[in-house]
Amino acid sequence: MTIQRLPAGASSSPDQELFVARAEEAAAIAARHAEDVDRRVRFPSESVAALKERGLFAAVIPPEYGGPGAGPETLSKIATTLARACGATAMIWAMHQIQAACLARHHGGSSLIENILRNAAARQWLIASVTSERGNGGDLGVSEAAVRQPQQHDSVRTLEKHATTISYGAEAQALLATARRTPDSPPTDQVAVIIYQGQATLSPSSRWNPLGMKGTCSPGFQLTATFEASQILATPFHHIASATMVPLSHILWASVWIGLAEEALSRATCYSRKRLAQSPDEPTNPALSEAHWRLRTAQALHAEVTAATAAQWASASNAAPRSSAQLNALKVSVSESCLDVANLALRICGMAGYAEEGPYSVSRLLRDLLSGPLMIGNSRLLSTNANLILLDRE
Amino acid sequence: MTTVPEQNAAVEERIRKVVSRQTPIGSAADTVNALQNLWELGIDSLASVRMMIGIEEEFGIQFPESLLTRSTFENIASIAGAVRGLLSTEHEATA
Repeated sequence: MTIQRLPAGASSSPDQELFVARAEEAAAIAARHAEDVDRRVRFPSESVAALKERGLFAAVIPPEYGGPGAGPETLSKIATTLARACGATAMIWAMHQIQAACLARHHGGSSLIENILRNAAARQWLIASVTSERGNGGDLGVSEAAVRQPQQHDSVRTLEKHATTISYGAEAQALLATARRTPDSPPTDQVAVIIYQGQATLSPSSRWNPLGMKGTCSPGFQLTATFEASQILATPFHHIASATMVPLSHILWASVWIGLAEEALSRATCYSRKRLAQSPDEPTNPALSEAHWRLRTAQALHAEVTAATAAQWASASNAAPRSSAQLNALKVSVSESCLDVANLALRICGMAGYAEEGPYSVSRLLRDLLSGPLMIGNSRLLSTNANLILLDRE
Repeated sequence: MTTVPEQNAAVEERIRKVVSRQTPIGSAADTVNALQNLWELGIDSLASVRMMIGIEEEFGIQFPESLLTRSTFENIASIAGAVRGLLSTEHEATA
């Protein structure tokens, strides 16, 4: 099965550095509104607009479709940069890149999907993921909903799906949804379909009132859509998931968590410097050292796994069980480590860290990071990895 | 001395037993067509890993990473082909 090879795009080419610089500009805007986005549980429209103005939603889209074709390493740098300013903005941007990457790497030569990529790049579309489903227990490899063909010998298809969560679903110009190939297909025989906003009705089915990542606006939705058969990607979804969606999800989510943890450590460091200036005889809290090594460990693992994935993508080879286990380990490890870093930062900053505002506030960072072990549950990933690791005998 | 077809049939039967034991396909694995796509019968990725390990343990072989793919384990015939290939490589190595 051919994976469209994206240009290798040297991770530090001038174009890539330009995009990281643009991300820093957008991050400055995101930072100004992060507290308000969190407090009012609203979509971060200012930072999304800033990202669109700078062409950053097209980051992963290859040059032949009008994007810069950023690889996993550059995408990670951008995600971390944005997360230091606003976790919700970073996560929205990251989730969109994952959907766009699936289209870019698995369009299978479809001119319709290639046109969608061109539009997504030119108009800075936001693409949402509709993989979650009521009753599948968080396993994106099984579906209950199925693509239906109302009329025989007709190219029209329909889909009804109850998604337990669709991040920024109400704001997206397109949706990448998974479903069983036909009503007679087994749960694991899934396809992915790219649906335009105008073809879908999304009715919110739950209230969005979470502890953190509030700006991602991710309630459940009942999706009803009518589309053309040609909008269904020819590549089976299980292959899209293992080759692209899962690897890039784990890498970019981890990048976001690292950005949040970096910000927490930075605030704890600034607080410790202030304390030292005020009370020179007071030893610096050793918790700062612990936060530092935990973060460095997470950063090092992330860099290694991202580089390995980038090399794999450049060679267009398929994901092996060992690399799947590494990617699961990355997600679990970084989600837990970064949460530890933020907890330590809170201890270091004390009541100033406990406050919801102020330069040493760790509250929103911690609350955003608490989502990490839950978005795909870590216990599920550990169970999966326990089996995958049996295949690795070295 | 068994003929090659008899040896092939024996390998296939052992594979069917592993698939029956390790996957939700169960006893249907004994009679399913050798070219029937196992994933269409409802194997998921967890069951596929159990199946891969079961076959390695059954035959005392080790699949190289390049063969630990969905296409190798797509149907009974493809699994048997991969197993026979590995068994003959080992036989040549020890001969």
